[in-house]
Amino acid sequence: MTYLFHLLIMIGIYTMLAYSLNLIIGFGGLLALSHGAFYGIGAYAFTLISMKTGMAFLPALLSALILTGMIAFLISIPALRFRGDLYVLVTLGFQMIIFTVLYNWTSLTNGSWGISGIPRPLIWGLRIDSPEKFLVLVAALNVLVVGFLFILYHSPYGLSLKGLRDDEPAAQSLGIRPFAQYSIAMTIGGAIAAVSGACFASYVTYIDPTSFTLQESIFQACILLIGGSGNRIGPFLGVIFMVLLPELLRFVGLPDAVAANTRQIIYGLMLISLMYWRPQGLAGEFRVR
Amino acid sequence: MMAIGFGLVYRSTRVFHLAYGGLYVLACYFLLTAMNYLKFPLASSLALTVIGTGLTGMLVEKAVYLPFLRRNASSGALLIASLGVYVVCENLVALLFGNGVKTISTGIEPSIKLSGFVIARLQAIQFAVGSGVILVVWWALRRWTLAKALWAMGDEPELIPVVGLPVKGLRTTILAASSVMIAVPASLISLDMGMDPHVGMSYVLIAAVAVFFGGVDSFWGWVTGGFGLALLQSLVIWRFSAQWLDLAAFGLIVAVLLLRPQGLLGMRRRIEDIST
Repeated sequence: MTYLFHLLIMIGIYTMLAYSLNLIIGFGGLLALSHGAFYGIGAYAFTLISMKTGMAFLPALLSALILTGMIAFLISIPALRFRGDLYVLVTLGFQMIIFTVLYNWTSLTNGSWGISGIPRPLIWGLRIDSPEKFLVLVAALNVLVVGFLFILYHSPYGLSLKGLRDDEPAAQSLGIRPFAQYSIAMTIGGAIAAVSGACFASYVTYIDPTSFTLQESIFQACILLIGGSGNRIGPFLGVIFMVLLPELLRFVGLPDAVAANTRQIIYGLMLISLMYWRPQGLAGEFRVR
Repeated sequence: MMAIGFGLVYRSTRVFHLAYGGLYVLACYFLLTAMNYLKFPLASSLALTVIGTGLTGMLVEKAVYLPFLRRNASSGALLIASLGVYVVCENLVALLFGNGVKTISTGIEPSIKLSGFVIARLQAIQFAVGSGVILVVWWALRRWTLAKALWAMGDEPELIPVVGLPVKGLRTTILAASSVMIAVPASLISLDMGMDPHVGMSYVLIAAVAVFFGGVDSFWGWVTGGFGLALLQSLVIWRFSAQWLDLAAFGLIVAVLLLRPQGLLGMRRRIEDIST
């Protein structure tokens, strides 16, 4: 039962990540490989704020969210001067830079040893210390975050983002400013990744930089590429598939050493064949350009 | 050398060739298989590695890139498919040989004393082979009309069949040539420092950074990018520490792209050209 709760919590954390990245990849059409970094900054910001200042869960979460949003905004300024392959390369560059900083700024982040003993969330005097309670917390955050994003998707803002994605010059001619719109998408996306980061940190109670590598960013992008993006159902399908596939392979009875590599091979083959037959993913709307 | 290979592919086929990292890993393990398991001597193992990697490169082109080209797939889709190829290569190797570090032992390497400098023999060979390949490719690009066709293919792929050149043949040649070009440094590096299945990505990223740093449109730009990056890395290791390598490399590429999007030796192009 605890195992089931664990799976559900991880699905919850990744659902928020997928839907926030959906704003950038699915609606903006920008293939960003920096989401793992925002997730990491969020986790570290939350951990350091709550451990150094003793702040409660919700204020710490909010500060981490604002801080990560600011960093995402700063990164969006140089990154958004590019489109296509170069945008991918620049966001990938920032992902590597942030990972290096997290890994090597030992006095702040404790480097490769990571930070352990992160306190469990305490909300209005209620200590969230069992998986069941944590599941409720993650579900509540999901309702808030995903609800907010759903409203955003169908707001004039979301539609203008879609317009930019489909035809940037045409959208510009209607008075939509690409930089402003994309930059808002990256800021909001990054800030929401921080919520996931904070959940992850306080759920596992231990973080180290290896959870926030380029592989993590690629994994998150794969969720959207495989499930599909640019609508409501695609990201969720991707999360279910990507989080449950390892468990499925475990039930098939592959030994652990082989399972990890087999899983990766399946992802790789799926990426190739999906890009060939269905560039919009299993249930997506946005076709990768 | 890796920068040249990556540059060749990117310039002529406009594929962001991440699978190159996979080919790097495959090359390392071809060499390992040939030497440690089949017990071939070094020379024939090297030849086998080069041929094997070249053929795999052609296979990637035939099996993956060409079908995408026929479908008029977008560059983003190609990039992701290429990433898929990389992931498959990396994990196939890991599945067959394990995730750990493997080394090929050739005994202790002798070193050469050269007017006060001590250089390991292998590193001297690396340098010599690297310069040799650079010169050969440069000569080929200068003398061969084929090279002009390659450049043109990067600009206007649709026009190539119109003027009667075989697009498929050109692309396959490029992929094979670039794969050979990665097999050589891959073998030399793995002889020197051993290998594990997960190094491919960092090498291909460094190669990509070097290409964009030096300038996509110019052969000497790739070379400058490669040398410049190597120099920067040694400087960083010397002045600070190896930990900050990635920061320096990727900080540099972001700065260069911002200040000089065409790269150090690139030509300034019209805005209409860049945006496509």
